[in-house]
Amino acid sequence: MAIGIVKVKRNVKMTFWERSYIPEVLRGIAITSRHFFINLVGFIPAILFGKERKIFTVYYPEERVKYPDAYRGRPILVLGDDGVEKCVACGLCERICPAFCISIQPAETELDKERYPETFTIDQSRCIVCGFCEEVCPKEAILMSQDTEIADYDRKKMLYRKEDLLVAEKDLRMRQAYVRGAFARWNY
Amino acid sequence: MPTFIIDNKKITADKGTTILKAALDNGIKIPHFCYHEKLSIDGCCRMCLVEVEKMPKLTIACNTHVADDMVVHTHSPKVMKARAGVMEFQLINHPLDCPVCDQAGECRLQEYCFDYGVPHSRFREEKRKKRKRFSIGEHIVFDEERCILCRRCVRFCREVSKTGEVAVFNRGDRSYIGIYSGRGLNNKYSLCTTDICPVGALTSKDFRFKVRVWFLTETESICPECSNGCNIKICVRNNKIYRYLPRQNDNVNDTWMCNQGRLSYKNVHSDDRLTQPLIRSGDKQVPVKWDEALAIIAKGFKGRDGKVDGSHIGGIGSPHSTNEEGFLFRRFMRDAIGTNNIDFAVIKGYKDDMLIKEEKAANPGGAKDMTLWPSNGGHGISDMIGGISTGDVKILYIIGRDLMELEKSEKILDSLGNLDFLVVQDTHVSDLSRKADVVLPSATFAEKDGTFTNINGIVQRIRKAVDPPGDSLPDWEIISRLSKVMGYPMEYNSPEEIMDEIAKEIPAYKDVNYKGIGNQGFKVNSS
Repeated sequence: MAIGIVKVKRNVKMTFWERSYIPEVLRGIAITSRHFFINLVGFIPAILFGKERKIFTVYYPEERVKYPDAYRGRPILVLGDDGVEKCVACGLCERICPAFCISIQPAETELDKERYPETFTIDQSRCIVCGFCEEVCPKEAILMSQDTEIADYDRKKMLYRKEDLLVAEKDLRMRQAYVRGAFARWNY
Repeated sequence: MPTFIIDNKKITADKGTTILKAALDNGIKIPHFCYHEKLSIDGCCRMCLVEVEKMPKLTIACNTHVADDMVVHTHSPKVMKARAGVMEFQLINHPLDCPVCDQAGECRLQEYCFDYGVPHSRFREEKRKKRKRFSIGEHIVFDEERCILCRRCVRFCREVSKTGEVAVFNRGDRSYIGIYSGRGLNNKYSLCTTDICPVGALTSKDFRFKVRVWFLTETESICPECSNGCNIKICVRNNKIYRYLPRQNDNVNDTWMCNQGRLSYKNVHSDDRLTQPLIRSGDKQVPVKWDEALAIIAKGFKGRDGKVDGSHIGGIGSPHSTNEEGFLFRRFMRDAIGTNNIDFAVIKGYKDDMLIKEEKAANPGGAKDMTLWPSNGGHGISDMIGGISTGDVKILYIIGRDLMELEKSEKILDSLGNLDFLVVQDTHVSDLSRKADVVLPSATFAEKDGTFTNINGIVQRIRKAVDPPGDSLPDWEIISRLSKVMGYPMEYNSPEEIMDEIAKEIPAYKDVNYKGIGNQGFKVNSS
């Protein structure tokens, strides 16, 4: 196919003021400059008078944005209030995982739950944070966290073992409530 | 022969056949818990209800004989409603254990719940509490809550293993499966009850919680533990065997297998497997590459004048090898070496009148058929061992270690020390392999293709399920390579080609080929 130039018809109707060009350019520069200066000195009234800051930019990593509960960060395992992980190593997350990043070795325990994961490994370099594991879990034992900082220089360090994955249940109430609401129509 | 209609399909079945059997034979699915082809009919689960026209009520398919002009509906609205009802009753007291239960994935209750059940439970009362997770035998764990009282295990122990230690005690919803006091579910076939249990009530201690069944791939093969040749499925994940399951073959093992055979999978992955060719260097054995080991053997077989003198060489084959390997071994010893001193040893042990046979090797019948015995004035095993001290036998080539289980094995071991040259080809380290000048690592039955001939002359296929560990190779490949080094090439791409060769040479096997064997075996007139 020969390469040709296609003239695109743009349906843009500009007023005389806009077509005169210069004033609109100046208006654009003014907007950008205003944001620049607010960001530059905007923290001063917040510090001095305790006023609420009007700017959006935060001083990462000292300051962080609170993500909504629906946000999916890296998956974590829930450590129950009794100090035992909720997971029973049923293997459904391992089965559903489209990236094959979960591997579990089940074993028997004397506790009432009978079964527990001897090892539970998530290969974070493979994980695509789709949230299927959370959705399929019958025990609410795996949840998506707010943690996004998983980058590392070594792939081996991105293998998260059970000890790295466990998070206390009390820190996860919000996400738990969200999950219960989101999947409520499947809970029977 | 009654002809009747089932789901608008015209079927002819033998007189006395039940509707369920006729339907299953013709590929029509009727759900059932308590019915098992090889057990008597109990009719207690009520899951196989079907509608037969002109009958006033629904009837159970497993205990209704077919008759002429019968019209059966297996999936009519009336039947589906009844089945949903039965499922609800089955699930009233069934705990919601699926995430923990080891049967999940191969559980009848789970499957039928998806196919025929209702999604919501209407049961608001307290569920019945019973004992959970306790041992009722050497190999078996029982969960009373999960049991749906189909009584398959009771019938199995009464009719098949004929031990009768299991029974149903009490009545109504208090009834439970129990063991007569002072006994345990400890018969030689007890693990079959975990296979036939449609739910997760009876589970195997050995397999419990090892791996989820849906991750396993199944390879059809033959149990290597005795000469009965029970048909099995090898269940593998990530190149590791997790269990053997029996496979139906009505000519050999019906649907059963013994505990010993079932638990023998551990041998394949044991720590004492040979993984590299070893040669003797002083008191030690050091690992070498295949080419080096084979060259040393070729040199060892030759005398000082550089020629092979067959009269001083003996070969002891293995009843664990396949037919193809036995055939190659015989040909190698006779034609490449030029000796008639060929024999094999079989370990004998416990036997019963069901499946367990006396010979504790998979293929003694095949070894006989491949004429792995002394002929034309050759020596047998006892003569060969005796001949070591008199100097008649100077070099031995031994496959397998069954020799060591014979009587006076220590004496045999001592006399082997007087040999000029000893080659041992085996799967595991043993006292025999420690004596050898060259050790060749070979593959177990699960790591190669081939055929076994069982005690009744049925030739059956084994298939490769896992990779051999390290450098080890199947016996046929080792013999074929060694033969090439010895200047007598016998090159084959697969055991199938060797079988074609066997068919030409051995009259009893003239009709045998891999296609004809299939997965149910091929009967030959064995010697």
